[in-house]
Amino acid sequence: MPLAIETHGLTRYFDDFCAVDGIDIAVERGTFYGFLGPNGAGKSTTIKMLTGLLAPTEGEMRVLGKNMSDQREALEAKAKVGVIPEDLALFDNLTAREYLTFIGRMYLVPKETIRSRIDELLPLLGLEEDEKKFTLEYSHGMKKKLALAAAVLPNPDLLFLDEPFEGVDAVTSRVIRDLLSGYVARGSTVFLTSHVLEIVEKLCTHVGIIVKGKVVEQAALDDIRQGSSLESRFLEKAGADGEVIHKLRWLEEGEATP
Amino acid sequence: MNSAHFRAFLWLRWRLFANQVARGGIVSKIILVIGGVSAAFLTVTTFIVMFCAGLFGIPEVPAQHRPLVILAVWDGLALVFLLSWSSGLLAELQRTEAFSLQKFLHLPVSLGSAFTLNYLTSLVCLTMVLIAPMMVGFSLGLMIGLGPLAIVQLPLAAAFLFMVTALSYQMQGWLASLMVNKRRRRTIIVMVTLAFILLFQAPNLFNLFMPWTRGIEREDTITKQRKELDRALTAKEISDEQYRDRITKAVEEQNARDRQLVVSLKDWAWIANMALPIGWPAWGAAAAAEENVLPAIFGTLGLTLIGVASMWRSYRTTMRLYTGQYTAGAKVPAPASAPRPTTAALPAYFLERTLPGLSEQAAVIALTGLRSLLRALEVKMLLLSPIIMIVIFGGMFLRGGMNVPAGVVPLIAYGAVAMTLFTMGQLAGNQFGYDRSGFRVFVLSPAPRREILLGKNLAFLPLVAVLSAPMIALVAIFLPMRLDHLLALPFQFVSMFLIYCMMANVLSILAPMPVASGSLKPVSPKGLPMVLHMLFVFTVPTALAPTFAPLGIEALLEALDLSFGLPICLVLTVLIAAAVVALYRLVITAEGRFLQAREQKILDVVVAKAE
Repeated sequence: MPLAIETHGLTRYFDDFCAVDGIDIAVERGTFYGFLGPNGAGKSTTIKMLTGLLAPTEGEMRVLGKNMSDQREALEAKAKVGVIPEDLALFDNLTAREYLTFIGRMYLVPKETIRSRIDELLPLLGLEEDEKKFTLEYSHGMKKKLALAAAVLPNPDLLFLDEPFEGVDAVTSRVIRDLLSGYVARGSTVFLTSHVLEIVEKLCTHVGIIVKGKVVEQAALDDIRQGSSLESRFLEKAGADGEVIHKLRWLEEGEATP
Repeated sequence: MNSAHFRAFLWLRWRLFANQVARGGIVSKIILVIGGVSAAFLTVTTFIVMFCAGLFGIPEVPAQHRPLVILAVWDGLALVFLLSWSSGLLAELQRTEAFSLQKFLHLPVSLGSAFTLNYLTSLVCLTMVLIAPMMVGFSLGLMIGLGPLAIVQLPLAAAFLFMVTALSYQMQGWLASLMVNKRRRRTIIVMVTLAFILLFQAPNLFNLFMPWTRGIEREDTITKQRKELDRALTAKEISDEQYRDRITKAVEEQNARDRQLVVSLKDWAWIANMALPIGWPAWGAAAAAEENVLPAIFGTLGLTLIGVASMWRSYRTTMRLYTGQYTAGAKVPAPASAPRPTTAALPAYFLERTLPGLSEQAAVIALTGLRSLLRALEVKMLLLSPIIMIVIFGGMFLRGGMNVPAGVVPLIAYGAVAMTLFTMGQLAGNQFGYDRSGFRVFVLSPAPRREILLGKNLAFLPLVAVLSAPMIALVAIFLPMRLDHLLALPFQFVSMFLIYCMMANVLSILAPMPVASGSLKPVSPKGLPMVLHMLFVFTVPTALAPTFAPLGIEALLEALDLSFGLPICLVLTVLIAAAVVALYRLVITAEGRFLQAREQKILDVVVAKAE
C-alpha cells in the first residue's frame, strides 16, 4: 500500500535541545494513525514539520508522495491535507462562517460547495448558535471544533490532528469520532496525537510512540497491545511502568504548612 | 494583605518586565539600560533642581509675587504629572489583559487584598518615579527656604497623587466593567483613545483656532498709532513735544491695560485653583507662603476624601466585575427555533465575491483581510490619525494662512496620500504580525505565496484610499488645482501605493514582529526588526520621490516655455503608473518566493505570545 507519510532521519533542534531525534515514520494510506508520547516528547514538533509549519534541522519527509522540502511539491501536498495545529489557526475578527468560507476558497472549493458544507458542519459540531460571534469570543472547545471544521471542509486526503479532542464536550467528541471513522473507512488517512488513550484505542488502527524525540514503537494497534491494554504498553514504552515514584511525605502524612 | 504578598506582587511585576526585556534581545537591553540610567539621572537632577528652586529661587522672589509664582510652579507640576500619567494610562488600556485580577483570585488573597496590592504595585511607574520626587524636592526646598510651615505641602502632594491615581483606578474599573463585552471593549478603547488624543491636541487646536491675536493686535495698535504720529510729525501737524507726549501716553495706556489683564488673570488663576481639586496643591502651597495653612489642610483632607471615595467605588465595581454581576443577566426564554434558510436563500456573502482579474485565492485574501482589518481595534485606532490631521490641517486651511503657488498644490495632495501611507506603516510593514496565529493558515495553505501577498496588499487599498480621500478633498476645496493635475491624482495614487506595498512586503517578510491581540504594540520587539522598521520609515519617502518627478519636469518645461500647453505632468504620471504596475507584477512574484522561503521563521515570530 502507498504511504501517506514517510520520514527518514527527521530531526529538529531548538538551540541545543533535540526535540525530534532522527525519526523514521511510515504511515500507510487509509490508516488511522495515533501518535503518542508524554508531554514534551516531540509529537507536536513532528506534526509541525510534516505540515510545513516548522522547518526540520535535517532529514527527509514525504507527505502523500510529495517531498515537503521542495517548495512546489509542498504546495501540491498542502492542497490535499487538512490540519488542526497545536495552537489552532484562527483569525480573531472573523465569524465561524466567514472563517470557513475563507478556508474553502483558499483550497479552491466551489462557493456553492463551501456553503452547503458549512451548513452541514456548523450544526454537526454544535456551532450554529454561535456562528455570528467572532472567534475571539469563542471558548477553547469551540475554537477546536471550528478548527476541525476548517480542516475537513476542503475534503482532504490526509488529516493531521493535534489533540483534536482536548477541550471538546462528550457529545461533540462522539460526533468527531464517528466523522473521523467514516473518513478513514473511505480510504483517507488520519494522523492524530492525543493524550486520551481510550480514544486512541477505540479509533486508531496503527500507533507510533515517541519518547524524548525518538520513535520507540510503531506498529498496528493489536501488535502493540499484544493482549494487554494500550495504557500499560504506553507506560512501559514511555519508561513510566514500574518506576519507583518519589513519595511526598509531607503530602501523604498531612504535615502542616506554617 | 501582608508585606509578603506585596513583595510577591512587586516581584511578579518586575519579573514579567525583566523577562520581556530578556526576550527582546541585546538591543532592547541596551535601550532599556540607557532609558533606566537616563530616568535615574533625570529623577536625581530634577529633584535637585526643584529643591534648589524652592530653597534659593522662591525666597528671591518679592514677597507680594511669591504666592503667584508658587501657584504657577505647582500648577505646572500637577499638569506635567497629569499628562504623563494619562499617557501611561492609555498604554495600559491598550493591553489585552490590563485589569485582570482573575489570575490572583485563586490564591490565598482576598479580593480586597488583591485589589489593594494591584493598586499599590501600579504606583511603581516611570511617571511616579520622575515627578513625585520633583514635588518632594520643591516642598523640602520651600520648607528650608521659607520656613517650616511649607511642610504642609508634603501631605498635600501625597493626597494629590492619591486622588489622581485613585480616580484613574476608578475609571479603569468602570471601563473594565463596560468592556466585559469583548466587542464593546474595542469601541470603548477607540473612544477613550480618541478622547485622549484630542485632549493632548487641545493646546495645538487652541493655538490654531484661538491664536494669540490679542497680542498681535496690541502690537498693531501701537505700531499704527506710532505710524500715524510719525506721519503727523513729518507733516508738521504736531510738534516734537506733542509727539513724545502722545507716544508716552499711548504706551502708558497700553501698559495699564496689560496690568489690568495680569490682575484679572491672577484672579482667575486663584479662582480656578480653588474650584478645581487638581489646583488645590497649588492653592494650598501658595496660601502657605502667606502663612495661611488652612487651604493646605482642607485641600489635603478634600483630596484624600475624593481619593478614598474613588477607591471605594473602584473596589465595588471590581467586586461586581469579578463576582460576575455584570454578566448575570436575567434568564431569557429560548426563542422558538426558526427554520434555517436553505442554501439557495442565503444572501451572497461579502467573502464570496470574486474580484475581476484576480485569482480565487488573492480575492478571498483581499476580502477577508479587509473585513478583518475593518473590525480590528488597531485599524480603528489608525482611523483616528487622519481625523486628527483633518482637524489640524483643516484649521490651517480655514485660517487661510497658506499662500501656495498653483504648481505646488498637487504636491500637497500627494503629501496627503504619503501621510496616510505613513500612518499605515505599522500595519502594512508588519502584515503577518497582525495575523498572529491566523498566519498558520497561510503556511498550511496551497495558495501560491505571490497570491497571498497580492491579496494582503489589496486589502489595504480601500483603507488607504478612504483615509486619504478626505484630506485630498480638503486640499481640492481650499486650494483648487488644475484639471490635468486633478486627473493625474489617481495615477499618482496607484504608483505611490504600489511602491509602498513592494517595500512593506519586504519588511513584513524580513522583520515580522509579534503584536498582542487588539494592540498596536509589538510584544518583546527585537532590536534588528525595530531598526529595519525605522529604516523603512526613512526610506519610503526616497522610494516615493521619483513619482513626484512629473511635476518638477512640467514646472521646468513651463519655466523654459517648452511645455506648449501640453498636460506634461498628467502624461508622465500615467506612464510612471504603468511602469510601476509592470514592476510590481515582477517584484511580487519574487517576493512570493521570498515569503515561502521564510514563512516558517515568520510563523515562529508572529505566534509568540504576549505575557
